[in-house]
Amino acid sequence: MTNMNSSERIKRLLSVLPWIESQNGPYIEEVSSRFNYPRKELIEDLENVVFFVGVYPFTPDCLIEVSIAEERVWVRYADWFRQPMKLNKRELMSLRAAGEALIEFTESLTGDIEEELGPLERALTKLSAFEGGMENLLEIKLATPTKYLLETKNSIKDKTVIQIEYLVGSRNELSTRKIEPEKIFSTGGNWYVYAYCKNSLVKKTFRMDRIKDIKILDEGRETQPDNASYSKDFFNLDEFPNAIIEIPIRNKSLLDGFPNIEVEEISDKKLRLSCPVASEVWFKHLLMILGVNAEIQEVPEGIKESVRSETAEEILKIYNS
Amino acid sequence: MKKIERLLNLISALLATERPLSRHEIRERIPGAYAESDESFRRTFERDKDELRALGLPISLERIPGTNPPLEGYRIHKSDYQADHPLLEPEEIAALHLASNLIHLQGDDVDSPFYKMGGVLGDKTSTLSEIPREMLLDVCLQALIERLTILFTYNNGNREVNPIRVVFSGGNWYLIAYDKDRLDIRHFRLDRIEGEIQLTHEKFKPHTEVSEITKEPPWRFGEEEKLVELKIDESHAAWALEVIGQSAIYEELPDGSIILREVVREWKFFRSFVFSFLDAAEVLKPPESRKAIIDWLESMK
Repeated sequence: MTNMNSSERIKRLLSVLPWIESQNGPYIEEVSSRFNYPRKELIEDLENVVFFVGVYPFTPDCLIEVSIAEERVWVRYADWFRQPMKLNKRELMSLRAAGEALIEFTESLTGDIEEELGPLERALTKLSAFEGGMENLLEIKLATPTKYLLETKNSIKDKTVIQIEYLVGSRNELSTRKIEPEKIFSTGGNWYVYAYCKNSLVKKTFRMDRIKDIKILDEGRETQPDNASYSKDFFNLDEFPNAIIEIPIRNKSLLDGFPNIEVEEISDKKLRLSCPVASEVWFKHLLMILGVNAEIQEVPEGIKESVRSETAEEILKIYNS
Repeated sequence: MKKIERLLNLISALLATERPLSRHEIRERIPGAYAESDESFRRTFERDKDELRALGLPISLERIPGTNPPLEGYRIHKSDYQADHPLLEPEEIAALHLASNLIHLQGDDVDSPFYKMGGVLGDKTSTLSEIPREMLLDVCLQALIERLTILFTYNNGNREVNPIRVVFSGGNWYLIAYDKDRLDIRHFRLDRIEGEIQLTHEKFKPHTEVSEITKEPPWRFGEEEKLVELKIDESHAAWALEVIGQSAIYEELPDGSIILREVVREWKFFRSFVFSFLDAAEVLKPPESRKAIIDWLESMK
């Protein structure tokens, strides 16, 4: 981190000072890495700021003493900074929620608690006892693990290539693919795996609940995981043609379950939707859900303007037969 | 004097004092920090105080003992400031840090609480789940922490509720709360709350009863209730059952298709579910639901 502002530096220093004081001359390097404090700024702040901090009447015994020698640092006479600041309620809530979610998730995945979660369990027990045994008021439930989540997780760990039977949503067909999973993640209530697909020779995201079967193959990987951070780009939405639809604002809740649609308020009555269309089936489904009040402004190439009325007629056939 | 030096000295003065200090005493005790002019001193001091409070420093305003007429002053009580969390072993801190990175609440500074626990070592891991942030989340959490009754609009009606818990489930944020008009616990989806949430000054006693958010399909939550029969072709049956989960009630027909019996309380969400199968699903009963589907389709012809 560079360019910390003064608030951030103060916040950091209030933790750094008690820690240095509690250690016997730690190395600058360790302080810098523990507190994510760039070395240059750290030395500058210790020597040129903290050195002048103290209490009235600012005689030498009332000033914090900082000494830096041979890459190590000592802080003395900072009595009032001997303890870091309290963890606030909000921080405790988030810590507990993340820890509890991870434990619940791992349990539901493997049926029991993995040994490596021991320290996490102990930490949570301590935090819960600290809050008088009160249940955490913030709860995070990850998406329910799907059937092959554990196998996929193991494939990432063991760097194996797997063969999956995958239900292609747009065609409602099973296809067989060889993939090299890199990362699993959940968003919007679903689990996804980001993997290199040996059939299409690109990295893409697969929905875990559409994987119908998994086989571990006895072959080596061709690719290395990238360091791409999680982002919407994972879905490679840019490669799909776009449809533009306008709907009345009161129908906004119909968009539930379509996280990839971009929504823009164009007036106090209307929303403009920009929808990456992955397949015609998906688009028909969207149009049927939005109903007659949706105004279709642009359809992707290859899809007929009359797609909505034709789809409605097709479905009506089953009601008239 | 640099700003950061001035602020650290201000914190020191407020922490080290045994009694509240008036603004002018503070100026005297940090020589060179503030301007001579009273007006510009007052402005800078107010800004500093706000900035420190925003950082979480518990600055209290109290009557200075022995002053007559009474004067107010500032201090930071050590008991409000100093960390009192239980001692965690390095491996326990590392495990918590890992969990916070794996399950990351968007916008939260993951590292900040860990600095207070002596910092963090180790590599960043990639996120297992990025929990999206909802606009009203912070105000709900504040109401929970301070146990304040809140007011908001939901389904076009005004609600006055005591928050019990905030839950993220199935990709959405929910507030579980005691509805003071309906005298019962209700679940509210945060993104369906209309407009702002208003905090009142009314404190409530914590509720002991908690009702779980179940992973149920969205059409099961609502006011009116109907039992709907939906026939789904064999090609889509497995998918439909996966969406609904273990609570699905259905009958399997010889050709592999199923008849699903669902309690529907929010029709529009069920209608969307029906259309996700296009012509592979047919609403059989009740007649008014079947008619609603037909009318909807007819309007688009």
